[in-house]
Amino acid sequence: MWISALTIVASIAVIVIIKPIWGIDFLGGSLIEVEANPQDAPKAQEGISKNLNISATALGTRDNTIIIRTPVLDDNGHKAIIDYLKEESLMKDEERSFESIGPTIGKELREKSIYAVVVVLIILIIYLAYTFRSMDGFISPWKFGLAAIYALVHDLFLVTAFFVIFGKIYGTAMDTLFVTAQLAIFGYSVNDTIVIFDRLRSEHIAARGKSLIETLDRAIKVTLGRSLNISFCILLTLLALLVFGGSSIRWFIVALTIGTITGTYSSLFVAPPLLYFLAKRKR
Amino acid sequence: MQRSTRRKLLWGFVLLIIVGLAAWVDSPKHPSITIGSVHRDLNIKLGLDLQGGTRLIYRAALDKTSTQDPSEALAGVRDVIERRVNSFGVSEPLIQTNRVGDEYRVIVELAGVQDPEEAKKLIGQTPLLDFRKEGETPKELTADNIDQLVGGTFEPTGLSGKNLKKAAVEFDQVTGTPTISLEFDKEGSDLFAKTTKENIGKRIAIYLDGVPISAPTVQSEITNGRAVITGGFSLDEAKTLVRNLNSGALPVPIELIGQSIVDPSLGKTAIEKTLFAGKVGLLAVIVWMIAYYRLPGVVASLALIIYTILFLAIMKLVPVTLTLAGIAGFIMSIGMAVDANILIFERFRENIKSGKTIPFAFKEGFTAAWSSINASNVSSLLTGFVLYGFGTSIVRGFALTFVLGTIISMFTAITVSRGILALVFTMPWTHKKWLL
Repeated sequence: MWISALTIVASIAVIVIIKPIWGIDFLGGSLIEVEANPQDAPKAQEGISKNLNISATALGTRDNTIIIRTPVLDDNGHKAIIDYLKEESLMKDEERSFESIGPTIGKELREKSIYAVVVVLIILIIYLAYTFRSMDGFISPWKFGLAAIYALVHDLFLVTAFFVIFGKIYGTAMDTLFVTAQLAIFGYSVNDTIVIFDRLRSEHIAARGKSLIETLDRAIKVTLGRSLNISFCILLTLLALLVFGGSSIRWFIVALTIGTITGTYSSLFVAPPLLYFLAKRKR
Repeated sequence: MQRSTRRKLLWGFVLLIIVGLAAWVDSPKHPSITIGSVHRDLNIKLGLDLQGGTRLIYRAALDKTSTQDPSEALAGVRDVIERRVNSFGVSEPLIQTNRVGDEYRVIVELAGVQDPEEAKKLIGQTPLLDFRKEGETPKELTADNIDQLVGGTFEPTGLSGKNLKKAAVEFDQVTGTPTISLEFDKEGSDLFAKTTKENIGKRIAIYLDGVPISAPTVQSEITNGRAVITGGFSLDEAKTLVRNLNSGALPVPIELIGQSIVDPSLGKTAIEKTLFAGKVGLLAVIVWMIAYYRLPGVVASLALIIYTILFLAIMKLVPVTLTLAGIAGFIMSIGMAVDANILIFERFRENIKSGKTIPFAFKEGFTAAWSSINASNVSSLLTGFVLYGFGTSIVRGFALTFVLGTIISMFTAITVSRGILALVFTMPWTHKKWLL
């Protein structure tokens, strides 16, 4: 219980102090178009990322140009890229244009997504209260929702904190893929917590009169096998992607992997203790 | 008993046909399907990153005299185009604002649209709606002022498509011809009330894409924020226009200044690598399930393969646009799909431990696990539906795959795993300890 609160506080501290690197999807950036052989686009992309340490995406077009998207570039960065491309003879003669571009995530998408997540949270709390209404008198049904959401928040913050640290070390930026990964973690974390709460309910019905802590303990013990098993199966597929998949989605997979691990951990060791704490306080 | 066995067999038969059909859809040998007049392309729709597409550059004609912040106005244009593209089902477009010196632009990249004309049509239909009031000095109609109505000049009132809350098709009560009713937002209603109040007895013209559609004479002040366009539309015209208006009228006009076809940023090797990883992942899960759960594990693996076949078929049929991340998400869902099976098998083992007979232990295990499967999956579905309903682009794309995966995994867990295992356990030779 206290450990999880500490994790959340520590995660927030990491996020606030180190500050995440927002990707070009959120902040916008620069766009360079050069005359070149479009087939060289992947080579240019890799070269710029590796040698200049600028995260770039290169697109070949049928007009025999390559379009390079990068985070906001100053004159030095711009010159470095052009010099590099000329050196490796990845571009012909002149560059066509150098422009600034806005974020791909517009205001509407951002606002709507936040709105959607808030609505989901409210609906989940109501749904959980409804599902566990038979527990009324033992534990107030609203507390199930609160505990599940708390565990979820714990996971999301923890994954974000990890990425902030990765950003510091490897320059990993938060982009739309990161948002998608967080949504997947969202789904998994709640799902996993509910299974344990459901078991708690059936244990409670099966063994009336036992104390809350005993019932909770037993519910966790009997679902432990299942929890570890399912997260192991998910990790198997993620591991395969990490080892054999391409490099462009590597960080996406890393986010999902961390999320799966914390999601399993929080369902077992964050949500139930909080539920116990909430139930104790009111009685 | 006889009857229920027969019913089970019938079910099995139906399932076999479904899986067979899905496998047929999955097969790359059948690139399209035609049933009667319905024709469906069965190639997997790939995202911008995997198959490239069309790149369009628009210049936004921002009103320099306007007090509005230009970058904010441009962001508005961007959002309208995004909504528009999404409403046509082109998934995960890349839309960015772009500033070059004094010029404000919007760059649109659409996946798979190899024909720039098609892409242009898609965005170009975004209507520009504005309201103009009759000026003081009537002018003659000449070739130069073609966008003016006979008998008067019309000046902008400031009321435009951005103030529109909702448009709907209605029918004129007298003539029965289709009309379009408009409902303004708060700001628009106030402006409309003010404009109508000041112009009683004069005409207010409604311009669509710079062309006057109708110019009714104001009878009285209109305070309810509603207006009607009677333009002699056909029903189809009215319907199309309403759909376009509702998906957003552009706050400023845009003009196409450049177009090109772009190659995918990730090539064939990226897809091949990821698919290979998927096969390895699927195999690893199967090996683990069989090693851990033995005979039930074999059945779960069968269910998992059927899940994969069905999911792939549905993604082709919907169709879901797949980016590389989408493919990775699908592969991850393979790991999650065994969840229901694991829940059932764990309960089953508990029941056997407590000394119940095998068929009974299985039946009870399923019933007990069902409550968990139900509660957790309903929460997943709720999450998916809300995200789909309220979200846009990437959030929607994720929600759709998430919901499909949840439904299909529930289906395979219930029908395939349960059906086959129940059938298998009617045979006493399977009741061996090493098999369970």
